Amino acid sequence: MVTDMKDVQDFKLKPMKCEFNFLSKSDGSAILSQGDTVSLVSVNGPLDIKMTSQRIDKSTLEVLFSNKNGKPSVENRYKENIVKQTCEAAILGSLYPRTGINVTIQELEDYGGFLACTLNCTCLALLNSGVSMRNVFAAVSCAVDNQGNVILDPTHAQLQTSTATMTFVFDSRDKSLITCFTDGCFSQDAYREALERSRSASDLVFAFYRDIIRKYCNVIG
Amino acid sequence: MRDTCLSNCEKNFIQKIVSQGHRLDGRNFNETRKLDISFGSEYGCCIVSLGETKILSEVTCEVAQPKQIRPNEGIIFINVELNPMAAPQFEANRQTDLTVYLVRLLEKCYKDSKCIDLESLCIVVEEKVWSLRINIKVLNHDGNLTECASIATLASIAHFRRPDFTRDGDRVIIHTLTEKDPIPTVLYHYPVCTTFALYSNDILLTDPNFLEESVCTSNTEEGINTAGGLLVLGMNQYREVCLLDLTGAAIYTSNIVHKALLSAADKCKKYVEIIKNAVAKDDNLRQKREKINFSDIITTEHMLALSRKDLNIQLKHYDVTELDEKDEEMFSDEDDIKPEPSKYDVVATVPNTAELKSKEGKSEWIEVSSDSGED
Amino acid sequence: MSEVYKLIHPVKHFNDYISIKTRLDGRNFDEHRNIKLNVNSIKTADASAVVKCGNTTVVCGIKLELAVPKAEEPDLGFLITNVELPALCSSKYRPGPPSDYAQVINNIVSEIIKNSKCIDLKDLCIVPDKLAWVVYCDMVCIDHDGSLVDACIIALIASFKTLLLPSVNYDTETEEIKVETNERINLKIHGLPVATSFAVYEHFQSQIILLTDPTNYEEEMCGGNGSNLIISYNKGLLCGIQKLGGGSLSTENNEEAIRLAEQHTIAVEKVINACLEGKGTNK
Repeated sequence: MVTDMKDVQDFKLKPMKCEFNFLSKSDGSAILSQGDTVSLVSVNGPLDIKMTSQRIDKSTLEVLFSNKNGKPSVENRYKENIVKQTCEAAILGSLYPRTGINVTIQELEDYGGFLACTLNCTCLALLNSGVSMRNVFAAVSCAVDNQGNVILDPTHAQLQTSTATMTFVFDSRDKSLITCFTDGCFSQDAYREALERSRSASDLVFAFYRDIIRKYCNVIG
Repeated sequence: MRDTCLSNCEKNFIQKIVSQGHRLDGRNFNETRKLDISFGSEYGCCIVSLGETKILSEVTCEVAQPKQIRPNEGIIFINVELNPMAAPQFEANRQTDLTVYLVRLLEKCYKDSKCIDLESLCIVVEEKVWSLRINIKVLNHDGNLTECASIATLASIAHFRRPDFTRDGDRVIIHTLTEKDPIPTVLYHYPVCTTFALYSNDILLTDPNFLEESVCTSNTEEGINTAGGLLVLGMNQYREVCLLDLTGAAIYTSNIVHKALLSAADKCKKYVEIIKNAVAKDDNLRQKREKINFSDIITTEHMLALSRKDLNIQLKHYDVTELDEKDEEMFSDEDDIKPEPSKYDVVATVPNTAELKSKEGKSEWIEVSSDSGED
Repeated sequence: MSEVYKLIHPVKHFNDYISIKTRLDGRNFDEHRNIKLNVNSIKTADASAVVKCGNTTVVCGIKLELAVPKAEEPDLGFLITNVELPALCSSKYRPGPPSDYAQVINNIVSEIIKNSKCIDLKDLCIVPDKLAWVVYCDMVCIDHDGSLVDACIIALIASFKTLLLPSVNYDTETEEIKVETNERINLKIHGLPVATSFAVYEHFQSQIILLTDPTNYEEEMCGGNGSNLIISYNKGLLCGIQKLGGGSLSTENNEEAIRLAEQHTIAVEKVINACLEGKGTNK
C-alpha cells in the first residue's frame, strides 16, 4: 500500500468508544462516543404496532429523536427523516411484515459531527438488536475551512471556522453513497474531494464495527 | 401499545420468596442497588443510574416574565419524559398516568417544599426572572423511577450554574460563561424521595425493581387485593418529611410507616452526602480544567465494549487538477452533443408569467402493456 | 390494459418502462417537466408567486411585519418560511397539524435559503436593537405531484425578487414608527438559488437510474419519502446536497447528477428572469 510518500497524506478520525447493551430493557442498544460527541440509541422490535401504521409488505420503522433539552422542533423531524431513510435502506424489512421497529435516539453531547455519530451508533444498536440487515452503513463527516481545504472528521474548534460541513453515509458492500446531507456553500471540487476522502475513511468505521462484533462473538461462543 | 403482562408464575414466585425473606436479585430487604452519578460537559446535566434504572436530567435556564402574584420570584418547571427508550411499552410523545404521577411527586418534593431560593432567581422585579426548566428523561425503566428521578433532579440542580448578569441602567447584560463565572443555585435544604414496596402490609422492600413494583401493586388471580402497595417518602438531610405518598392498599398498622420513616431518614441523609460529594468532586475537576464528558460513562473493560484511540488513515493526496482533466474530457464529450439546441423554450406569455416548455415532438407517449413485458 | 397491468404488477410495469428508456409520462430520464411561473397574482400579499412544475403547483405569499430584534442578535431581521401541505394537495395528507413530511420539506427549504446566503438578514434590520422586518414566507402546495422542493424554491425566489420593502422612518426619541408605503425599495437578493430533485431507481440490482424532476408516483416507486436526491445551486456554488433513501450512488452517478443539476439550474434561472423581465415591460 505504501506508495510515494509525497502522494500520501495522514488523516485521523476522532477516537471511538462504544458499549453495547447499555440499556437493559431495550432489545438492542448502543452508546457511542466519537471524540467529545456522544450519542445513545435504543432499538426495539420487531413489535406489535397499531393497525393504521402497519404495512402488509414490510415492517414500519419509527424513529424518535430527542435532543438534550427535550423541546420538540422542526429540525428534529428532519433528523428523524435522515435516520429513518438511511435505516430503511439497510434493514431487511420484508422479513417482518405487519410489525414495527422502534429506533429511539438520545443526544448526550454534541461537539460536532453529531448526526454522523448517531448514524454509526444506530447501526451498532441495530446489529446488537439482531434485526436482519442487508448491509451495514458508516457515516463520516467532513468540513471545508475558509481556505477551501477539506478536513476529515472535524473537531468542535475546526467547525467554528469552517464554511461548510458535509456528512456522507456509505454502504458496506460496494461503498456506494446511501445518504448525504450538507450545510453551507461549497464548490463542486470540494464536494468531490470530501466524498472520496470520506469514502476511504469509512473503512476505519467498518473495521471498528468488525472488531467490536468479533470481540463479543467470542464471548457468546 | 399495551402494557407488558405479568405472568401468574412470576407473581406467585415473587410473593412466595418475599414471604420467606428473599429477593430475586439476592439483596436484603433494606438494601439499595448501586447508585452512580455522572455529569455531562454542561452545567446541570447528569445521568443517574440506580441498578439498571437510568435517568438523564438536565437543567436549563432562560429569562422570562414573572408570574403576577409572585413578581420577585423565579419560575421552576419540571418535565418528565418516558419514551420507547425507557421500555418498549411506552409510546413517544404521549403523557401517561405514570409521567403525570412522577411530575406531581417531583413538584411536591422540590417546588412545594421550598428548598430552592426563588427570590435569588429574580433579575428585575415584575419584569425579568430566571425560569429554570428541569427535564427528566427516563433512559431505562427498571423500577423505582421516583427515587432515581429525585436523585437526578437534586444532583442536576445542585450542579447547575446560571449565567451572571449586570444591570446597566435599564438594560440587563447577560454574560456568557467565559466572560464571568456562572452562579450556582441556592438550596435551603436537600430533599430526596425514597420508595418502599409494601408486601402483605408488613414487609418493606427498599428500592424495588420493576418486577417487585409490579407484583406488589397487582391483584391476585381471583382479583383480591394482596394488601401490597408503594410507599414514597421524601425527606431532607435534617430528617424532616417533605412528602409522603401511598399507592395501592391502605395501611392498617401505623408501625409500618414508622419503620419506613426511620429507614428513609438514614437513606436520604446518605444520598444527600453522595450527591454533595459528587458535585464537589466534579467542581474540583472542572477547576483543574479537566474534561468532563458523558463519554466517561462508557465502560471499556466490558466484553461488549470497545475503544479505539485516534484512527489513522493514509489517503492518497487528492489532486484536483488531475480530476479536472478527467472532467474536461467528460465535458468535451458532452459538448459534442450539447450544441444541438436546448430542448426547452422559455416564453414570456401573458404579463407577469413565463413558461418553460419542451419543444414540440420531443416526448412521446408510450404504452407498456403486459404483452410487451412478457417478451 | 396498461392501467390494469400497472395496478397488478406495479414494479414490473415500472421496470418495463425503464427498460425501454422512457418514463410513464413519456419523458426521457433527464428531462424535466414544463414550468409555468406567474408573479404578483395575489394582491393582498406583499409579494407572491404561483409556480406549476408539471402538475405540482405551489403558491408562495410573502407578508411583512415589524418587530423588535432578538437581544442576542440586535442587527438581524427575521425570515420565517413555512411550507403547508393541506389535505387538498394529495390524498396522502389529512387535515390537522402539519405532517412530519411537511416539517421535513420546510426544514430543507429554509436550510437551502439559509445556506445559499441569498438574503442577508442584516438588510432586514431597520434600526439595530429597536426595529427590524419580519418576512413571513408561506408556501402552500395546491397540487402535490413530486419534486416539491424545486417548486417551493422557485416560488419563493420569484416572490423575493419582486418584494419591495416600504421605507420606514423611526424616531429614536419618541419611538414613533412611520411607514411610507409609497416609497419602496427592492430587497437585495444575492444570486438565484435553484434546487433540482432526482429520484434514484435501482434497476435490476445493479444499474442506477437517475430520474430528473420525478412525479409523485416515481418518487414512491423509488422508495423513501419524497425525492431521493436534491441538489441546490447558487451562483455556481453548491449550497446543499441531500440524498435520502432510494438506490445508492456510485461516483459516476454522482457526477451525472451534478451535471444534470447544473443544466436544470440554467434553464430555471432563464424562466425566472424571463418572468421578471416580462413584468418590467408590462409597466
